[in-house]
Amino acid sequence: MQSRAIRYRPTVEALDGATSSNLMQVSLSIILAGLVMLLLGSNSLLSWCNNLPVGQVSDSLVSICQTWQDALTQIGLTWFAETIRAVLRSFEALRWG
Amino acid sequence: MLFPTLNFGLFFVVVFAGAWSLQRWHRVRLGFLVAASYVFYGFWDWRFCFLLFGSSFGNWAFGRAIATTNNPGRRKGLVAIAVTLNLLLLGFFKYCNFFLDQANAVLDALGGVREVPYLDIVLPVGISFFTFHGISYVVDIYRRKLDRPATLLQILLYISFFPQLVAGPIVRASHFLPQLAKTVDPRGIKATGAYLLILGGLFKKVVVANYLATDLVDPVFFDPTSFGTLDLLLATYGYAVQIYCDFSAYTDIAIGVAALFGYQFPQNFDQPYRALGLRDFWQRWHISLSSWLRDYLYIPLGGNEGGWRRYRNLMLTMLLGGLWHGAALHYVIWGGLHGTGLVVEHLLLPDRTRLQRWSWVARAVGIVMTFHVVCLAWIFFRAADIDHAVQFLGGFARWDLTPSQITPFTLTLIIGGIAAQFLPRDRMARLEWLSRPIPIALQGALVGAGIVAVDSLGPDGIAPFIYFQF
Repeated sequence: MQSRAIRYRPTVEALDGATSSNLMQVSLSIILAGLVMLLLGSNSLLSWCNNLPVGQVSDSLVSICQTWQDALTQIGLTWFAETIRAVLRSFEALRWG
Repeated sequence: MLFPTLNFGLFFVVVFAGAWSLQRWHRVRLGFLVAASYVFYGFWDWRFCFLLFGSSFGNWAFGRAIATTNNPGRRKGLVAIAVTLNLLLLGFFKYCNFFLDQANAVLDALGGVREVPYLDIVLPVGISFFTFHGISYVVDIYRRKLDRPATLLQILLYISFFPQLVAGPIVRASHFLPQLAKTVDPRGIKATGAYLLILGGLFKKVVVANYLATDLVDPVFFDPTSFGTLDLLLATYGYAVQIYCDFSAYTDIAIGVAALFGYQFPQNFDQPYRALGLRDFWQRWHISLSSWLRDYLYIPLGGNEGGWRRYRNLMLTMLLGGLWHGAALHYVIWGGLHGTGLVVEHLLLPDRTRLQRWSWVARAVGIVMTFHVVCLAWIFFRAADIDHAVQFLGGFARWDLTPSQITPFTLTLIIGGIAAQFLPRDRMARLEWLSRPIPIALQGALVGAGIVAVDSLGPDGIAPFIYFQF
């Protein structure tokens, strides 16, 4: 039986042809992403603080995050995350029949 | 430190700011990224940082020694020693306890009273991946794919760079080292594509993979005797989708994060469940590992050389690929099933280009058959041991049990996960093109909202990525 050459599929760059941005624009976009997460994801931030090792710094952080979350709840900004979670939970709880 | 956590988010922001502020001082930047990568790795167990450094240093030293001699025999000897040492290191951590167990079993059978003491060895996270990177470097130097040996700093970063350190993709030395030799361009960050990969990866891991694991796959595979045909069948499909979403999510996020630092990694998954045949599957699944096995194992074994040796090489490569996942029979059977399938395919369809001429019906049947062969092998891969796998397969005859784990939600995840395999191959490029008119700052805000949405959708807590254990 003859040997056959191995067929090579060329390496594909995952981001071939993607558009490039400069560092200033990317830095700004990351800062904005962080700000949006602070505004919309205060609940997760509080959970994260609650899981930090016990200490003076973490106590202060928990207190700040709690105040932050209370403030955002008052102005209704926790609605986004809560609604998404509630919709998914109700879908997850669905059963046949 | 797992990607979908706030810890990683904070780590990323600090490293991003530090690395780009040092962009003008190339070597300082590389040193900073090395330090950051060791911090990232040290989060699991700081003691393994010494192992990582030792492996990198050893490979660098062997690379230099190989590059500085032209004596073919000496070069061959050096690369053989380097590869053997790498494999011994990997083998010690992965298989030492297995061999001690076997030794004790033999002693027991011989009526011996002395037991070989059991060593409490913890498998270092990502050891396979950094070992493969090390082997790739010394072999690429030996094969003269690199025009000069890398500096120690470059090797330290090549092996430890945190996005790919613990679960790949396995980036070739000849692909990544030239990038580390150049100064990165702060005007060439492919941020839009990177954001899409990161968001998509987070969704696949946090939502699809995690829910499929907790709501369907884990309970069914834990005790397959309690479930009937339909539960077992959908748990098999569910695992196929789960492992794809879990693993491809990790590499998508790794590729996206690396892109934000100005580096390019190759694609690692290409819609594997639309593969027509197992050869096609292995060109779409964990591409960096399958091509690594091809170039550093299959070809040195003889590759496609004529006669039965081709089939022996295929079988050996797949069996060793299975054994790499763990010293257990169920992994070997997983590799054996793939090896057997590949041999049969080579025998029945020696000319793969003919597949392209099949009618669409024949191609559809071929795709469905390939998917089910892959699913059958996944049962052995996922089962805790061979007994569980046999119990699982035996359960397919239990038609009398009412399905209990299938819900509209898990079914939607499975159907969605499989349907996504048939989206256009250039879907990411299309999405990226559609996103271009959105100002990059607004893209950042949308990414922030997207991350909050994914986090809210996910279950409480994040399971580690499946491939961390290998």
